[in-house]
Parts: sequence; C-alpha cells; structure tokens
Amino acid sequence: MIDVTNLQVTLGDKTILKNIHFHVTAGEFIGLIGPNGSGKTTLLKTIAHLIASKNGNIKIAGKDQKAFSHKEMARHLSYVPQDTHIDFNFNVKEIVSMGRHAHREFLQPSPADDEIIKEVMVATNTWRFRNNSILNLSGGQRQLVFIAKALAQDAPIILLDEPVSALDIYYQMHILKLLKTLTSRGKTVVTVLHDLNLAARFCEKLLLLRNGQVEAYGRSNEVLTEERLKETYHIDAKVRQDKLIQALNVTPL
Amino acid sequence: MNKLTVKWKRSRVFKTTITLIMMTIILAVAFIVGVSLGPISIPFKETIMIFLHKLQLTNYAGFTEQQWVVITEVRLPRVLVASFVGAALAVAGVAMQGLFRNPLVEPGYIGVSSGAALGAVSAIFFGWSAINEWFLPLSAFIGALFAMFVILLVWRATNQRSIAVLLLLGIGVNSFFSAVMNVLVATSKNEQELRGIVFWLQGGLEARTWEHVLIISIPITLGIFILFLFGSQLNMMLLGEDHAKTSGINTRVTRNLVLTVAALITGAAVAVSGIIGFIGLVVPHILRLAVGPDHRLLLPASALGGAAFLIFADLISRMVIQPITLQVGVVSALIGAPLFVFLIIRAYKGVSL
Repeated sequence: MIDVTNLQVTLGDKTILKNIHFHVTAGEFIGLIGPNGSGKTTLLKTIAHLIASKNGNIKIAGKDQKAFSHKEMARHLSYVPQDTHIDFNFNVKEIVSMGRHAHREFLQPSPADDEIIKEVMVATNTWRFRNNSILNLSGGQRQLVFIAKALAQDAPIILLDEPVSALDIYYQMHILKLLKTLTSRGKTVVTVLHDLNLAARFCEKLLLLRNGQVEAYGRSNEVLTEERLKETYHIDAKVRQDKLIQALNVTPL
Repeated sequence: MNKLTVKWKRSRVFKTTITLIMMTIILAVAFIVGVSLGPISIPFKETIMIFLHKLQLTNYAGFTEQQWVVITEVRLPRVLVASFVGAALAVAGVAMQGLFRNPLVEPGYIGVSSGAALGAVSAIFFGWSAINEWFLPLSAFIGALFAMFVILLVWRATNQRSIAVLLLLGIGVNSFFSAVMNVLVATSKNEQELRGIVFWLQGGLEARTWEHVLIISIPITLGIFILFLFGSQLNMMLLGEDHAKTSGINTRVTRNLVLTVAALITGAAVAVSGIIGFIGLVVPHILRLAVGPDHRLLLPASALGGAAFLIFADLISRMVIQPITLQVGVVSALIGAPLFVFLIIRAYKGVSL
C-alpha cells in the first residue's frame, strides 16, 4: 500500500531523513516511534506529500505520489495532524463533512455524503454532539472529530500524528481500539505514537526512527529490545511480556 | 435515520436562504433610504416611482423634473458606487481572513488599500488619469497587487510566517506608502490636483457619477462571484494548511487566486472611493457572530452587508451635521473603530471570534 524507497528529506540545509526504506501492506497497523527530533512527523508528512522529498520515492497504492492530483491523493490517503486547534466556530458535523470534499464534483455534493458522514460519526461516537461547536469540545472529543473527518474522506490509508498523546486514558483506549477496528476492516493505519506500551499493545508493526534513519522495523518483540532502547532512547529499561493484555511492556528503570 | 440527515440538509439550505433574503431586504431598505434622503428630501413613494420609471417598468410621472435629476444623476450613482465598494471591501476582508485563519486581517491592514491609493494618487500626480479614464483604476489595481506582492514576499522570507509579523509588515508598508503620498501632496503643483489626492487619502463618495459605476461594476461583480466559488475551500483553509491539502485542496492555487482577486476588487474599490477602512473588518465580524463561519454563506452575506453598511455610513456622512459633509471614510472609522474595540473586548472575554 505504501512503498518508501531510499527516501531523503532536507529542510533548509538540515537533513531530516535519509536512506528510508520500508513497505506497508494493506490492512496493517503501523506505529511510528522514536525519540523527539528523530523525524517521525516529517516522515508522516512526507508520505502525505505535505513535504517534498529530496531524493527517493514514495508509492501510494503502486503509483508515485507526485503523479497524484490533490483530490486523487485525498481519495487515497487521509491525514490527522497533531495540531487540531481551530479558532472558528464550526459545529462538529460541519467539520466532519469537510472530509467529503475530495468526493465532490464542482458545486455538487455526492449523493452518498450524508449517509457516510452519519456512519463515521456514529462509529467514532461523535454523532451525539454533532450540533455542538468545535470550540466547546474537550481535547479528546476534538481529536475524535478530526478522526471522523479523516474517516469521512473514505481513503484506504489513514495517517495520524500523535493522536493520543494529549488525551486521558479513556480516550487513548477509545481511539486506539477504534483504529484497530478500522484495520480489521481493511484500512491501513500509520500513526506516530510516543507511548511505547500503547504502541506495542495496539500496533501490528513498529517502525523505530533514530536520527532520521530506520533503526528497526518489525513486530514489537523484534523492535523493542532492551539494547535497542538503550541505544536509541538512552534509557535502561526492562522489557517484559504482560500476561494480562498479551503485549510487551517497557518499564524504564 | 435518513429523515434526520434530510432535515439537517434542509436546515442549512433554509438558514442560507433566510439569511440572504433578510440581508437583501436590509440592502434594499438601505438603498431606498440612501437615495431618497439628502439635502433635498424626496418621499419614498416618489423615489420608488422614479426607480420603476428608470427601469422602464412604469411610465407614471408623479414626480418633479428636479426630483428625477437629483435621484438619477446624483444619488443613484453615488449609492451604487457605495454598494459596490462596500460589497468588495467586505468580501475581500472575509476572503483574506479565511486564508490567513485570522479574523483580524483586512485589506487595509496589510497594505493593499494604501498600495491602491498610492497607485491612484500617482495616476493623478503624473497626469496618467487625464490620458484615459481607465488609467486611474488600473493604476490603483496595480498598486494593490504590488503592495500585496511585496508584503507576501517579505513575509514568506521570515522564519515563522506568523500573523503578527504580517500585521507588523502591514504597518510598515502602510506608513511608507502614506509617507510617499505625503511627498506627492507636498510637491503637488496645483490646487485641483491636491484636492484629488487628499480625496484618496480620506475616502469619499462625493460626486460619483455613472462613469464610476461603470468602471467598477464589472470587475467587482466578477471578482465577488469568483470568490463565492471558493466557499468550501476557504472553510477548509480555516482548519490549517495541512488539513486543507490532505482533504484534496490545491492550497497554492487557492491562495494565489483568492489573494489576487481580493486585491483586484480592493483596488477597484479604492480606485473610485479612496481608502475606506474598517468595513472589511467589522462587517465580516458581525456576520460571523450572526451566521457562523461557513464561507458558503458568509461570503454572499458579507457582500450584501458590506453594501448596506457603506450606504448607511455614506448617508450619515451627508446628513448628520448638515451642512458640513464628512467624508464617508471618516464616518466608517467613527462607527467601525469603537465597534471593533467592542468586538475585541468581547472576544478576549472568552467568546469566540
């Protein structure tokens, strides 16, 4: 679904990413992890074609991302930025409907719009406050609204930049479970996560970045080893299997 | 289930229709009042009769020759110019506010209006305006575009591209342009030229003729309708560039087009009326509070509201302290500035812009 080959990205005269190679298969749930400044957001933005790459290439569904028109790209890939701040008083449903733009022809709403909007809003638990102003929502609710907007876009790939880092434990679980359900229905999800335990628990595969390069890519037990955590994050940590939730647990010492 | 969605859909269309009908009524009232009031007051009934006659709908002649001349030759063009200018400034304001995601941006604040005024003043000063009637508006438009271009170029070169920096640059460009205009005023050779220049600095609608209406009606109408088409794009630009782009908007094309058209209509407005501030700020602001931020409704509502606002402001400028006639730019600032301060206080008390 996503093929990245020999990617190099520079911003100004600083090289942010280099020699990035990886492949994401349809329906996978990928967690992008790495220390602050390792290039996670830049990689995500480059995949979304918000940042142009210097070298290398990115294929979305087998086609070079540069060959897509804006609308075509939006029909293949939706993106939830880290910053969901907004100053203007839209109601929740108006925000979610904006996700349908790529499916609309000039001045004409697509006939299926209303149904899809309702469906994604029910699925994300945002339908109950559909008429509220976006300004009156909590951070978690707002994050859900923007995920609903991305879902309304009805693209096979969803990219998210730290969707849960500012949220309480209820919304963290809620959103990650929701993303997991989506992958089981065939969506491909790539998300930046800071919390290694949540990443290990929910993601099928982890991609660990270090200084702009891929340090490791694979299942959580392959990526999250004690030596690697020491090298990458400079921490002494114990990695154990948590029997209760059947996932790896990283405990910094 | 489906009924709910249908209901919602109806409600948006319903809201749009009701709002626009109301705004049209307000504009129509403003128009009739604006035309019938003045040093020579003409009853509303006669005014409407003259309208109908002018549009060749009736041949009733229950009005005097003098009333006919005052209305068709003096007030009608003046009020029409006021409507076009008001609509243009309000719509340009809405478009720029949407683009920069900030309700405090206005064509006047980022140097576009003063650029246009400098263009117009240069046309008078160097005598181009005497060569062809289109040279003055053309020069104003080029001035507006030039100012916008310079300011955006400098802004893009800054690291942060924050709105604060943009507004600061606007202050700089505005003072520079007004300094240049002051130089032109100081070196102006004759009285008439001087009056013409001062007129552009203060903004006024005196002695506007059908020629002025003709010059601005086409570019402004066209420009406003082009901006109407960008309603949903501007809505998405409000969520931020990344959101807009990944939702399928060609943000570069949208930005360049919207800015150029906004500069065009601002330039056209300034070309016939001089600098009139606050309309592009206050009218969108009030309407945003009343009808919400959706540009598909906000743009047409602002066009109607801006037109009505300027007609009323012009009316006040003619009527309040007779026989002195204030310039409409002065009145607009007199009403607009306190309103603006009030809105800011309100906003910073926690009520959203």
